[in-house]
Amino acid sequence: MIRRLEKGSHSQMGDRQLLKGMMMFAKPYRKLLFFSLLLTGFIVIASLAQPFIIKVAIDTYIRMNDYQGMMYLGIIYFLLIMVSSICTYFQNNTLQFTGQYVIYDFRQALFKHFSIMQMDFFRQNPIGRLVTRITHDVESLNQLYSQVIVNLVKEVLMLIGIIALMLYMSVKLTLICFLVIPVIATVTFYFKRVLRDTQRKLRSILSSLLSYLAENLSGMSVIQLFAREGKQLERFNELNEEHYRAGMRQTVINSIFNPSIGLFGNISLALLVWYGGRSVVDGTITFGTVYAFTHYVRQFFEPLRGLADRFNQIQAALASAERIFESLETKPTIINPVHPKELPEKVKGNLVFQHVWFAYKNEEWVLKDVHFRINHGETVGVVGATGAGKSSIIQLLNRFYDHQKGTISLDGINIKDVQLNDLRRHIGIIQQDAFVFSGTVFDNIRLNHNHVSKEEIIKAAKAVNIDPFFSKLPEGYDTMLGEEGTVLSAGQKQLLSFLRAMIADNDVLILDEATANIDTETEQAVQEALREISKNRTTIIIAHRLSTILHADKIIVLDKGRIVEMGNHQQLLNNQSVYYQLCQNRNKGKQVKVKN
Amino acid sequence: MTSRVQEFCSGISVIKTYIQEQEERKKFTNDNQANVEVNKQLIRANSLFTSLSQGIVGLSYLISIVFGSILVMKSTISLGDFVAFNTYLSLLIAPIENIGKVINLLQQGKAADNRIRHVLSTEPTIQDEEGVTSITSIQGTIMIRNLSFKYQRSKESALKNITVSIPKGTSLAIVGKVGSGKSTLVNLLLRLYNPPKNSIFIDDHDIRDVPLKTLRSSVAYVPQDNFLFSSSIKENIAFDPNPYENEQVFHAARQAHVYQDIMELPEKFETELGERGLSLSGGQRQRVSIARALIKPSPIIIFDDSLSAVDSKTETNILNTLRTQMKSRTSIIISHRISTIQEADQIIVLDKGEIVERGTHHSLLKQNGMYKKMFTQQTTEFLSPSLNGRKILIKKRRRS
Repeated sequence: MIRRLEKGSHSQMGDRQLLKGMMMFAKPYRKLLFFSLLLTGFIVIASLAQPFIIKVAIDTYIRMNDYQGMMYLGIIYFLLIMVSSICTYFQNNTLQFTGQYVIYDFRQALFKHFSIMQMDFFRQNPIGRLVTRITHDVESLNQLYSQVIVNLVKEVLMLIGIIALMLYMSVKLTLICFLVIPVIATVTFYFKRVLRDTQRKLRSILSSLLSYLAENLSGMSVIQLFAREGKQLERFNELNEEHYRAGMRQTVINSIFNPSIGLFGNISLALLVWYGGRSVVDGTITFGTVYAFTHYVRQFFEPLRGLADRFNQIQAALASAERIFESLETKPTIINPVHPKELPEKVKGNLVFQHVWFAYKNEEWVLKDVHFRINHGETVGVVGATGAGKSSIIQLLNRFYDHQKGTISLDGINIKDVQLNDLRRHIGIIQQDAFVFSGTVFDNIRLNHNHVSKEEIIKAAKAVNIDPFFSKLPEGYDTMLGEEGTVLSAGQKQLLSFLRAMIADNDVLILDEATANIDTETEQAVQEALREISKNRTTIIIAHRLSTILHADKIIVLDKGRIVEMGNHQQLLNNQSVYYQLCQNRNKGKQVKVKN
Repeated sequence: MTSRVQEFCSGISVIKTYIQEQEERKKFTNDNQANVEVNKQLIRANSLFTSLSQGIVGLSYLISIVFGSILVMKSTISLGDFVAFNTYLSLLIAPIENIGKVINLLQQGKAADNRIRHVLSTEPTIQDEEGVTSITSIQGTIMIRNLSFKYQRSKESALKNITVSIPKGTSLAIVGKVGSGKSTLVNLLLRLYNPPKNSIFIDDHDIRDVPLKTLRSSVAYVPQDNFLFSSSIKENIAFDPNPYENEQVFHAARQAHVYQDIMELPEKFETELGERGLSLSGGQRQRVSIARALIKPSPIIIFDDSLSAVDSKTETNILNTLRTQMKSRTSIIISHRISTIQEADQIIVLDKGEIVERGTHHSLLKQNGMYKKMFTQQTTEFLSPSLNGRKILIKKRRRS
């Protein structure tokens, strides 16, 4: 029912290569990272020194009743606190800013990369996946830069520092404490591994839960209309239940783990007090040392637990990094030529398809040996059954896809020799299912042609008699559209798309089923406008409704990817072949006159 | 930022066609930068808090150590007291920090709780009202009496004074301009919106007294946008909650003339559709959506402009199949194409929310009004291409 969980396909990309890639992104900020490492050093020293100072206070000054010495120690302690506090502030800032900068770069790189990918890429990758790449995956990389790297260093330094200090103060006591530490370390790493598996499962269930939810919300009207709420809810409950169980499992593991670590920690403390106490009585170890030890033992567990976490974080970050780099390394297949030819500012619009073969994949040809010529200013209709390949012709012309054999040329220049933007600038397409962006009607019509004024748009709309459809919206052309605004009907969207193309004013105009959901009267108005626009402009019209293409200079009839007939309406009728049949279908019960 | 990327991906074909990549990148950069700025502010505040609280904790240690040791030296307290005090202090810090966190969490939780309560307490405006009848099946007679309807936010009425009666087993076709109220009428019949009381009757029951479940399970509907779920094609066609045999699914697919298309797919009926069923073409999606409605043995069937993406040959085939089926069903068809609707038992023409013409195909043609105009526009043009100078153009070429 749900989109299959993203496959955790482990590519050939090794971990080392990934790390290298991640370091590349951190490179511009290596000074910041280094600075923050330096600060980390200070912080570690400051926090290690504190228990030691108390030890000195107890063992030296209190015993000697040295007030003045105590005051000096107090001042040193105060300075340590200040330094540590200030260092913490700057370290935190630097580190997390760096993280932000790096993920900013990652996001820019990803978005830029997506924007140069060909259409096929967007067909193959669900939107949700691409969004996750840019948002969630990058976010989990942030952890790597802002927490893992520096904290790893910090924790290792802390551990080394504590062990060194303990050994310095008393080797015997250190060994006593360390009786328990291997056990704790083992337990910690074991539990973290179990937890990691649980968390992974939890995450994957959560993501299916979310995508199930998203889909059902957007298809809610269909669900309600089919009275299927119950069934859909059942499935949701199943997922929810699964999520609950995985979450509970995590809680149970945690509630076993945390007390047991506490237990071992306390055992270690008990050993310390027992042995240390006896030694103090013996006089072999000072009281202050035992006191400092109790602090260090407690301080010891924190970095240990942290280290176990780091391991998981690195794993998670690597998984995200792998997906991100995989995305970044998918090369676009439709790219600008190395030595592009330039199209003139205005093209004439002479279009030639020479024996073009095209398949979306492998050898499943959608277009077979398509061969035709459209001259400057001509209007050409393309008809054929669903799946005959009509839309594919447009996709090729605009280089949304590349054909495999043959050539397509515009004004005698092979379209593969031209820069993509240069080509698309000359070709306007009015789509059947035009996407509406969230924004006002104005924004949607002018898109990012910011120089186009509102007046121009209204003028254009009036010129084609479709102004009333927009001016009667609640706030006219300033009505907000999109998810949180007014929803346009299919017909209104097509009219909007029509205006878009008028504003863009391209040299070649293509209508892809652009009037399927518009009523006849409005269509009539649009047709008239179209006739005006298509004067001196190469125009291709794809339509099911034959009325739309009656006036075309040439009609191309496609069947299963091949051109079966070509000519104007009358010629094709005279042929009494495929087109004739199409017309008869349309005019059931009417006599189709054949003129000679 | 999420919505920006989402929009970018969904609108990619528009963006590429109009070469908007550069601008979209600019917009994204702005979002991205804004995001970094917001995060930086948050980080600064956080760091300040961490370092301050660390400093304060440190100071309290300092005081307890310095004063404690002086007190010990003065023998006011014992060394044991001093050590115990310091240890308690260190134990105290974690709970105090936690209290802060807990208070924060409680506030967050309260806000979330409020939001959830708010959502849960929103009453659905469309639900079975008190005094709803307990009918569980519908025959299919629809009566609409003086129906006027206005959407909440709009100024004008979407429908005015609509009166139609559709006897069981007959068909009604609705034609009219974009925005003339066709879909509104259907939405009311399905109770996606609540019609005023005493305006729509089904089998002599006010539609608002019919349980929603009964109503909706008695209506098969083919919507304008063909939303498909990301599951197998089979599951999509058998979307109606009742159980269906494979054979029934195949049959529905055949009736919607999509069987052949499906059989050509790699996994046939088990083919999984991607997000929003994007791997099918528009026409195929529409026909799957039709099959989804046809499989339902409901007394009423509604097509909302839902043959627009299929070519006329397929359309004729589907309509022929339907005609045999529709004899037992009450059907409502919205379309712009006369060919789709000319066989309907009655046709109404809507304009600005009002019925301006009604009758059968033939009687409407005699009325010489809007319908006739539409018909002429759609058909006669095939016969003689003689509009506005085009004829001349063709003649010219013939000569040459």
